[in-house]
Amino acid sequence: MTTRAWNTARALRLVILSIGALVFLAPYVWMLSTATKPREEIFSSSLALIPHQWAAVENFSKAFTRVPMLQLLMNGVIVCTIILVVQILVALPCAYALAKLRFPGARALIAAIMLGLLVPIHATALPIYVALSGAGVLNTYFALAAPFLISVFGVFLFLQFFRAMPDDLINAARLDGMSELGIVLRVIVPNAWPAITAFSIFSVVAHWNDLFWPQIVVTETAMAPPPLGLIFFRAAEAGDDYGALMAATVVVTMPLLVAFLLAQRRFIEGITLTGLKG
Amino acid sequence: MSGLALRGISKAYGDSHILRDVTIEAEPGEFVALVGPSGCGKTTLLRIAAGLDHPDHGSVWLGERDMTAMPPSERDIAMVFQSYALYPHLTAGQNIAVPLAMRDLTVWQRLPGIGSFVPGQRKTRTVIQSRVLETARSLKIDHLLGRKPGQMSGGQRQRVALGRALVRSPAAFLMDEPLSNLDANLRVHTRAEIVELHRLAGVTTLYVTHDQAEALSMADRVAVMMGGRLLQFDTPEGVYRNPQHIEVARFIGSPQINLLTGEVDAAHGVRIGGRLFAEGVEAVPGSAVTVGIRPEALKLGGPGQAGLGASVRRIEFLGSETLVFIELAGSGGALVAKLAPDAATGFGQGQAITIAAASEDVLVFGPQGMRQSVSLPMRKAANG
Repeated sequence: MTTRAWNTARALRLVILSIGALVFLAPYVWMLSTATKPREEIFSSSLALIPHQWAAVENFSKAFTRVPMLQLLMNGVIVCTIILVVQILVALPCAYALAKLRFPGARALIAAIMLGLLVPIHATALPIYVALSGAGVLNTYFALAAPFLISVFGVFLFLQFFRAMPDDLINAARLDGMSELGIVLRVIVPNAWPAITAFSIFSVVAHWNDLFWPQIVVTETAMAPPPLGLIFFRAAEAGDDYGALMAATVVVTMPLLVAFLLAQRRFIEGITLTGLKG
Repeated sequence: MSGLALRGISKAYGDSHILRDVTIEAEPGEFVALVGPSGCGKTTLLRIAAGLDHPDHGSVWLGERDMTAMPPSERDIAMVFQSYALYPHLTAGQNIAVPLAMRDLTVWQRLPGIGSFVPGQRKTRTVIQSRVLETARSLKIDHLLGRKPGQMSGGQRQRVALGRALVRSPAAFLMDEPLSNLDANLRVHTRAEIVELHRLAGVTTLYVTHDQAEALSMADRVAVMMGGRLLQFDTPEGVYRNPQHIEVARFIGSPQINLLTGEVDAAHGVRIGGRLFAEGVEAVPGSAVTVGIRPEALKLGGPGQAGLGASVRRIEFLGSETLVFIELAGSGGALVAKLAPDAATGFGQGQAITIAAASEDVLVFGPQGMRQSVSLPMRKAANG
């Protein structure tokens, strides 16, 4: 680096960014720290990142033995997979039709999708709960996935992406003898990977971390996804054993953290592609 | 081989009429150019032929088959798009193979992975591969088959697009300004190649262009369109020498045809500003006509010779020819003459000259722009 590159403006920028990074990292670092401390140290008045006495093994083993941790993680994986697969299966053809086919009612449907984006799950939670309860399917994977199987956000994201695809590409495919379904599978999907990846990231992050909906439809630990499992753990087993609770939290956040490190570039691409924050 | 016929095609979006009762019938194996300024409806007409758009009235025929209601995939027509429209995720070879795979493989055989276990798949794939290679060789792109469109130049992409259209020997070819995205040198070169490919394949071709020179040089017949109407459908020589409408005369030819207001007297003499310009013209006597003379048909003479008085405003030397820009005395009308460089040496800027034209080179258009033409038996006899 030349001296010119290290001028004050650059240094100032670096300091501000570092402070920002610290602020956002602090809770996570504190969680890691707490997960390695014995109970007495957590409640002691002195603040220390590094524990005097290591209790990491103890805390993590508690987290794995007192909570069915693998069951929770498995539940999370199953629910997130069901949601993501169905969301994509529905959203891709739907967005293709809205973006590239001309049919009566298309504009009204797009307007409906925009409206759908405005309605939060909290508004519809109660009626959906009543319906699921009436159908007797509470405490199932289906109940956990049902409200999210059709994602208007997914349709909207793909719609924007497909609109930018040239019409001639689709016309060429028609002249080459492809059916509309063939066009979606052979032309649209292979060229829509950036959008599909971005959407997958949003979907998995949102539903892995979701606590609101699982708390409504699940009351059994056997069906609970990770965050709800942690709540059960705190209420029933841990009490004030924050060391074990934090250890469990570390385990639960680990899959997303690893996924992020592996696919860092895709994450960033996804966020810049949609122009939205996660 | 079959001809391609568009009969009585009309198309409107709301109040704007894109096409008005257009009929174009291409003979089997014929190369027909649709030419006109942008917005004249030529691309819409091509899309209707492809089945990508539907006409409000009229029908589309391929030989004896009525294709009006047929989806594009069943028409056995190949199209080359202005943007080339190659599949970005496939290599050049895979792009060219797509139409064959769609036609010759069954749904099960096309499935990735599973497809290779379906009986007959391997054999068909081999046939397709050899056909792709053959097509690529004829276009001299066999070394590019492994590249993706993003790794190719515009000219190379254009060839792959041609290859994708050629590979399945379709019943008809449609081309939508395939050369407009190429640079000037490559365009002239590719123009000749497309004509050659057409001669070899002998497939009926509709070729859309806004470049009149391209249309004249490539096509067997040229359809000149303007404002959604077909103005003239004729051989290149026909639309150039014998335009039936003033707009055709104006659009075809470069530099543009010279147009002057004048009148035709009872003795079939064309007068401009009251002075006799040409005698024995095949035109209906009448006033307020427009007289057209191609730049190369103008004859320049020294002062005192027969014709209209004028002066030289500017001379442009273009190598193989020289353009002389002329201002008419009195009216101030501007004309341009195209001369061989040797013939132009005698003229200089500001010089007073006279202009004249042979009677058969003078085109007379009526007030509505229609060509005014009658046969003059007297002159025929005199010439014969």
